[in-house]
Amino acid sequence: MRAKFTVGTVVVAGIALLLSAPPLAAHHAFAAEFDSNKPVHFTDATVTKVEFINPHSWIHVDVKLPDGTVENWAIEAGSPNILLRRGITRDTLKVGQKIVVDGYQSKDSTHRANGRDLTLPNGQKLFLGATGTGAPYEVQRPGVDTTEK
Amino acid sequence: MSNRFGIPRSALAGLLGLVCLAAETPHRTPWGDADLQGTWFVEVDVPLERSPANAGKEFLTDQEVAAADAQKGLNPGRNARSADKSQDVSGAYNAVFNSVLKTGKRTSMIIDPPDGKIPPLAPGATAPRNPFGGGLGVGTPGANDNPETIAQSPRCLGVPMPFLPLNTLFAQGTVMQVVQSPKSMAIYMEDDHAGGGNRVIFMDGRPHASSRLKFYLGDSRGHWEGNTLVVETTNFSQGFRGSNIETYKMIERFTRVNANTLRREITFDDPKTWSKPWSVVIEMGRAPDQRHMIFDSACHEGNYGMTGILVGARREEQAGKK
Repeated sequence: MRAKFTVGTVVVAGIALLLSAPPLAAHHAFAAEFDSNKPVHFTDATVTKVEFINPHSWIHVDVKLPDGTVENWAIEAGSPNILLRRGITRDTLKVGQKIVVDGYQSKDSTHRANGRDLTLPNGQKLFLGATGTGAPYEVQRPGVDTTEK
Repeated sequence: MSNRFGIPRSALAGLLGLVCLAAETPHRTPWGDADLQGTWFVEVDVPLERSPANAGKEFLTDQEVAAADAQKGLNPGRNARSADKSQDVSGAYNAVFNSVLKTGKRTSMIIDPPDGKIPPLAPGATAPRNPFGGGLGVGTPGANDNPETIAQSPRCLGVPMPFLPLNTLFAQGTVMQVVQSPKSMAIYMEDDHAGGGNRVIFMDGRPHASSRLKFYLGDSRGHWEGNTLVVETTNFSQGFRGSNIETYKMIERFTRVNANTLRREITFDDPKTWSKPWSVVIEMGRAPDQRHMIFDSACHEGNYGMTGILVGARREEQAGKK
């Protein structure tokens, strides 16, 4: 199979070593589905569809490869109810919008990956600032906007 | 004696009394029961059991809560990359996909025994294999052999009882919606993304179902003790933390403390599992209207992850891994 996407370099900040969280118990063990040896880094991904569904949302993107061809990938994202309470809806991400995706490819080597980091091309965190009702009962922390809007 | 409208004074006094009563206990249904209805959120994080560091201490001080929250605020969480890629992939998401609740003042959900710990096992009882639901449990060898060995949550089988906020990071056990009628009550339990759970609690005096019938969410019967709804649930098809389904029962006490607080106290009783009953308290609050909405629990249709887990396990087997 063709796998000409850019394999990202995992950048580890020193502080992350100190503060890295233990593995999390989520809906499923992500390590069972995704391969830590297959990190993906898509710098040119265009949203084609957003599935706002349980148990996980899926963001479908067209990824332009260095040779100019395009592959459609499905990126696993958070559960819709958590996103909904932050004001993120199926319309937050528009079809046609360009995003940068960092994640890990599925173990079966199909075009699926988890959405480890989703950012805008300018580096801005994808879901921040654009929308959000905030979640004031949550702790203010880097990367998540918890202010009431 | 009547006034010029022909209404007896005693009746007026009675009416006034009722109005006063209503003012004292404003949260009442039209038929007079305490009104527990609404969507309720767990808004603070409290561990199930008390940590050794908090031994002998039921509540944190305001300063300790502030310090704990400040520490949480510093933690970049999922925005930080782990040096260990296998650990990094386990987390999988960036921070916006997780909830980090503020620290609660309680040092344990368990209020009885007073040490905040689950009591010792009863003689002959064994430690739970998978304390949080059916299947073999996430990460257990063999758990991904086939769909039926996978834990309850990835199979989209809905919320396991007793629906405790044990994993608030993924909003599990944190949101419930209560709808009442005079003779029954429904509780919709929203559990992150594992599919929801709909409980029906009968309050019309009917007995429990036959012990031969077992239910995922048990069989619930409720009655009022003053303003507190007491619910006894039995007939579980699976235990909680290894409890014996034939002898295990759960007794909940729901009390509307004020306009914005619902107190849910639960006693877990199983003489074959624990040396004595134990109780937890969960205080739930209300959130602004835009977050009151409950999300559809449909889960199977979009559960691409389960296919991915099974295929991933087969690929690992083919590669000669366990």
